[in-house]
Amino acid sequence: MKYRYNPLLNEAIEITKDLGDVTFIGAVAVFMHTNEGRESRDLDFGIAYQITDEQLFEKGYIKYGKRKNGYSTPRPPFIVDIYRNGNINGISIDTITSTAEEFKIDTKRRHAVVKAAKLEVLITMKYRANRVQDHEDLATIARNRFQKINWEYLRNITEEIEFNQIKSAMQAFLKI
Amino acid sequence: MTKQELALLSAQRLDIKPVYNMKDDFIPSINKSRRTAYRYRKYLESLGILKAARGSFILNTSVVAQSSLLLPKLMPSLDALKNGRRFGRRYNQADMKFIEKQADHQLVTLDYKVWELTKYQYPSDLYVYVKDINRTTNYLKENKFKEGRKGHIIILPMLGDFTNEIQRVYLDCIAKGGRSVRDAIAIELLYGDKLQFRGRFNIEDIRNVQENLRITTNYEIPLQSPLK
Repeated sequence: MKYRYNPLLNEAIEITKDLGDVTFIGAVAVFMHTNEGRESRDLDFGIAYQITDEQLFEKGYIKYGKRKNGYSTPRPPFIVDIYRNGNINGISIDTITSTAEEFKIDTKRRHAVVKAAKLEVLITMKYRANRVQDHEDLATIARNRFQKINWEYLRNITEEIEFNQIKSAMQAFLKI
Repeated sequence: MTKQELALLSAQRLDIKPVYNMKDDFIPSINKSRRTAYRYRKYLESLGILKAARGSFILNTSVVAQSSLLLPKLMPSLDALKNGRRFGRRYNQADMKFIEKQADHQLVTLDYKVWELTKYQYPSDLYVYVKDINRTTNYLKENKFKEGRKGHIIILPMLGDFTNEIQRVYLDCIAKGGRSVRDAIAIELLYGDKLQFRGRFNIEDIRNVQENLRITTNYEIPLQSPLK
């Protein structure tokens, strides 16, 4: 995919350079899949390996405030939420990172590979988060990637009722 | 209570969901006949806060959550967005540059304008108000722009009051819903003194925007902030 200019994408490339195997979720992941979307200067990602706060500090990622997963980056004003364990909306970080998709960025200035949550994992997380911005992201995904959704995979990571709700929601977004 | 108010009230009673089903969600929630439910749906659709396809619909919950005093103020924004037309040619930054240089736009609103005002969320689509929508859209077509669902240029008719530009952009953000709601919160936090009419927002969203603005733009909450 030929990506539109997006400062968040540049920052995602820099973070991948700093920390290696990271998987973006949230708006960056929506952008990677659809080439669309908006976000503040706040990126969310999961890390596939164990890394301590001290090791993050050495790389310029400094814990701030009361926010559980919040870190400043070596490139202010960008900030990040780093998820190292547990789960996000019922999907474990292990699953998110081990199933992540790779996206090749090939522009005049940048050549890199960035990982983002698998499409079906992203849809499930967004559906469960159920905020107005998540609805907008689901609509964006339906409009751009509906034909690429692997329904069988989605069925495997959700309960039957939830699967049916997600499928009918995505179909409705496509029609409306 | 008028039928219109009843329709809005029935929409306010719905739980937040990405997509609603008439049979499973709306009819049981209003506890009225199927015919009344469809009449309410039609009314909400005419306002531009509901989009329907067969038995399903999506609802602009950020508008529904507003007070009855603010709703009339939102109507011009809702009308403009409903009648907006989306265009694209290269589907990248070049399209925005073309519009900025060429078209006779009167006011930029939403994404790009809010970015200029708040530096909170990166812009994606260029929304511009124009005096003569037909003239502008014909001009775009002459220049190989295509109308459709994927373009990033949205031409809006100038409807309503534009004397207070920040107020108008703020109302447009609420009317658009989705991520633009956070733009409205950012505007209120930074330009609260310029706003005559204010919306209602989710407290979690307010906290999130506040924290984000504080970190990313060194913004300090004014003592008189209505959202503090």
